[in-house]
Amino acid sequence: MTTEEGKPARTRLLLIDPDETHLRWLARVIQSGISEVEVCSRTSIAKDPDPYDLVVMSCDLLDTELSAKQIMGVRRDHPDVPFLLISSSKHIYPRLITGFRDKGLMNILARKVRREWAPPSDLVVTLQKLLRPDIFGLDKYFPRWGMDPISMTVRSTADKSDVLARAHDYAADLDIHPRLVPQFLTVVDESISNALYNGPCDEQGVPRFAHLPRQTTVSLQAGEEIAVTLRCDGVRLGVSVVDPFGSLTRDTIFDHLSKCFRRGRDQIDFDPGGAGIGLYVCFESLSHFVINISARRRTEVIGLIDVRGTYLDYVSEGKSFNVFESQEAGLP
Amino acid sequence: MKAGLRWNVVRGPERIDISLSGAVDEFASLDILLEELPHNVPVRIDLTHVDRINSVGVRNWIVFVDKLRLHHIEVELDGCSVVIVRQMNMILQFRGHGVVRSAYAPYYCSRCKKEQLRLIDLTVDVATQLHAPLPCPTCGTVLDLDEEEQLYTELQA
Repeated sequence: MTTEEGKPARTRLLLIDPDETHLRWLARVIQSGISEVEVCSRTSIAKDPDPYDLVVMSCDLLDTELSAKQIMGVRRDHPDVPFLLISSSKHIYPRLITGFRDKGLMNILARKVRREWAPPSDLVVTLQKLLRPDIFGLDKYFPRWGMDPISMTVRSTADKSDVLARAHDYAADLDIHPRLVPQFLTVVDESISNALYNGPCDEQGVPRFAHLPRQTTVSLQAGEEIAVTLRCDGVRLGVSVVDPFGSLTRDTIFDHLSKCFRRGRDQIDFDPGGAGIGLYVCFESLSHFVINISARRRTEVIGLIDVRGTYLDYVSEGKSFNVFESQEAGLP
Repeated sequence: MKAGLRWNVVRGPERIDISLSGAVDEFASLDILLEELPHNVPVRIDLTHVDRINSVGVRNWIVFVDKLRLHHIEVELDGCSVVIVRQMNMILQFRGHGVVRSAYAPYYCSRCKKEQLRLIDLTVDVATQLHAPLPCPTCGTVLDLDEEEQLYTELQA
């Protein structure tokens, strides 16, 4: 955002957290990590009619229903403003999107990680991506210098098994909890299948391969390759899958996740094509799930798994989930 | 990485025992397995060695179990691996008409970085089995359950 004089516009950010100590800490992180920001901090959720560019709400009520109502109250006061929820409850996000059908609720960060406040870098990266057009790249989630990423390319169905084998060897060599390895492979598998079969569209925007059974071999044309990157820094194991199609939409993500969270008879798609649970499986398999979209230009799916603890640590933690959209200019 | 789904079928006088191993994915030929099974004869499927399942694999599995139902084949699921237990928790239709008899619970020794599995009999009290002390065979430390307990109590429901 810039002013008419070309200077960065000042961002007005509403920050709500009933825990005053945590509120102060969040405000400090935001002030020091985001330039030209005015943070308006509140411990109460009282109606605030002032206009804001961004709303960040942090809460960890034990009562999921009460939490959901309070969150949606704030959402209703600021319906057209990007909204970031910070919560440790892994039940709150499924409850929110099945109960309130608010497609603006696509950004949640875990409030605590390993019983401590979540790392400030995640908050800063998330806010920067909500405020700037530069949303792509796995490196934003790996501030530590050191380990080189592994990069691979997928051109056809046949390449998937090679990438999965390499991802397996990469993860298995990291000395992480052995049960995290298949979790990671599942995410790599689902992300590649989604990019390969659901990504490609013809000039009218009609999917080319989405209707095909997933054992059918498909091949991409030159310039349509899918880029897969793996990375680990000893804290997180990550994968990025980038396709040059940009056909995944916020509506599709929302519809698939809410259908799966409801756990009804329609949870699985039985038509030829995908089973319609790939995004849900990724959500459930990850500590942090990020989808970056530049419509009709590219999609990036990023999956991050916290590899520091036991499997129980990993499954009990709150989840982070973000969908970012950007209008890119000048891309092919 | 082990590829594909494999199976072994043992025909008994009143029941067929099937053990599956490997990954249940888009290439899992469960229709071929189905052709080996006579109608109306109960099956017990051992899932101990199923180590991975993807979204299309989940659908293949559900379709397979539903075809067993249509062929009037009773299904018991035994030795459900930790991966399978997770799927049962996530996917409503995963077990179909199958009766889950037992499942593996993981325990982890952070000191030795080794996992121990304990077979939980779902026909008797689950919590007692989950909490019974399990020492690490290497260092003797009493291990903690390394999964959410409710996954196992809900299997019994």
